[in-house]
Amino acid sequence: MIEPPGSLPSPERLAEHLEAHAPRPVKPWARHVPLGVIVAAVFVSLAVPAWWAAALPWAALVGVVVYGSNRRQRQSAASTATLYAQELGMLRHHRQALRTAWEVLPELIYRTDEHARTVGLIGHLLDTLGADEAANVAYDFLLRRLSDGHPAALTLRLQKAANHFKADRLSDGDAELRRVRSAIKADEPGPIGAGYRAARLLQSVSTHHSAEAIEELPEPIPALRPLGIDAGLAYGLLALAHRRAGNEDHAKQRWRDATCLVPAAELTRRFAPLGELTEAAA
Amino acid sequence: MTMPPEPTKATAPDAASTLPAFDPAQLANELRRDRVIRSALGVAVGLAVFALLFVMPALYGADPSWTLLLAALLVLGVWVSRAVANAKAAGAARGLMLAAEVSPGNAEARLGHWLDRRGLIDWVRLMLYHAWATLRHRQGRHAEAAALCGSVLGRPLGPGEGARPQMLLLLAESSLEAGEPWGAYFALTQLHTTPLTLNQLLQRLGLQVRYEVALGYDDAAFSRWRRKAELAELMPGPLCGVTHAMLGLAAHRRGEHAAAAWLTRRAELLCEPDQLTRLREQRLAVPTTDVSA
Repeated sequence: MIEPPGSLPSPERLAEHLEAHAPRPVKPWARHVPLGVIVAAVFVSLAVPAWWAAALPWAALVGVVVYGSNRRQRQSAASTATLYAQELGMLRHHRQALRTAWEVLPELIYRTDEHARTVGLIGHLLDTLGADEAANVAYDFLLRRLSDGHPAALTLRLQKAANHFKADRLSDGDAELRRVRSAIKADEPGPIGAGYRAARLLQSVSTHHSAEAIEELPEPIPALRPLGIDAGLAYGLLALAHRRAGNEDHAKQRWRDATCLVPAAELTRRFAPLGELTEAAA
Repeated sequence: MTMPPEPTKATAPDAASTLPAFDPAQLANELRRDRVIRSALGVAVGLAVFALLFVMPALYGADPSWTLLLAALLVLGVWVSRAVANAKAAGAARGLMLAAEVSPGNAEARLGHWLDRRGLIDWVRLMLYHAWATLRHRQGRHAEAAALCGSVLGRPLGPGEGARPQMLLLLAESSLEAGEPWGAYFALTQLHTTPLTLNQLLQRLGLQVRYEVALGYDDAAFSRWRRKAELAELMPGPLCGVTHAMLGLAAHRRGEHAAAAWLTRRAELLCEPDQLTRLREQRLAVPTTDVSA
């Protein structure tokens, strides 16, 4: 048994936890086992002329009902814990959410969808807490189980690319972006398209290609709107690109949009070079 | 307990609809018919067991251990078959709620098939009606969705009680869309005394702000507006934008111009332009002229 982390888990520790509690899909025949037990008990009862044999089908029925009830209770408790972890994450209690998700994962090995969601949550929480490498371990674990064109795979790759750029691993980030490029059109609508444009923007700003960043987003608000509140970081990046290109008015406008959605301190925490805009605004 | 608003008969269905328009008497009739069928089945099984245990050994000298086993098998068989039928219908109801979001036409055809089943237990039939309400809401037939929710919520849901918050949210939204604020008032009142998940709580917040703004209760809508804006940030993008737009209107009407400008700018960054135009047409967002002023 691997204990939940008191501090943030290392990438190795997370990999060990995920492999120890990897999902095991339920075999199709397994759901018929309870009925099989009852049928077998009936056959025994027909074949053996004894008082205990007559009671066997009833005993089997009671056993199946008790087992089913216990199983349902365990599943319900695991679902509640998963929901609790997600809600803690939404409310930005990231460490507590991580601990809950870590603890509940072993209970989800036979429920592949919930397991995948919980691993995704662990990745997202580690990402938010700044443990980029460990977050990428969680994302890789999910990516190994998804086809390349799956929308979730595209989102995870974009997230990985963003982590690489933030950590200044530019070639790794570029490699991730290359892998999704064929599946996402430049004007792709929705959150995936907006996520791709935001990742490209982060790449351009990280590599000091300000003109390219500005040129690729002539209409930034419609292009980045599907990101919701998180578009704030993208507007901040665009403001930085404008400032580096010497367009002070545009830089101020984009920075106003960015800080309208996300406080300046939070933007700087997410991407340190944005600090120069905070200082300029002050 | 406060009763849900009296459901009214919905208007005629459109040509593409395979299900008839909902009539509140229909649910009561179906529940009554299910109970009659279940009772008749119970009586038939009881008579068969009585015959096996007492009549067969007495009249034909049948071996009592065999008749006992046959009686047990009969009870077991009927019980398992009914349990499986109800479990399948309950599972179908859950699946139909998801299918209604993806492919309403297909979901409607499948729902008709399950609604025709006889002898279902009450809460399973109510869950099928819940799926029907979800489908109608997705199809934009809000008055019918509200009538369906009102009919179901007035009954005990038994093991389906966990669906009550979702149905109350559906009733609130459908009532607001259909211009029936009393239905929304009932649902919101009930939602304040019902345990909710965080997502449900956020939905309730969005609906309550909409209710208050639509009815002109700007003070109530604007109270603790910063906290409401923080919570709205946890909502999905479009709903987050809509809530900001409505809070912005409440602020504007109360003369809180700085807050109104900030909230409306956020709404512009978060909402699609046509979404914002629709809100303005419904008088749920600050008009364009007032924004530029």
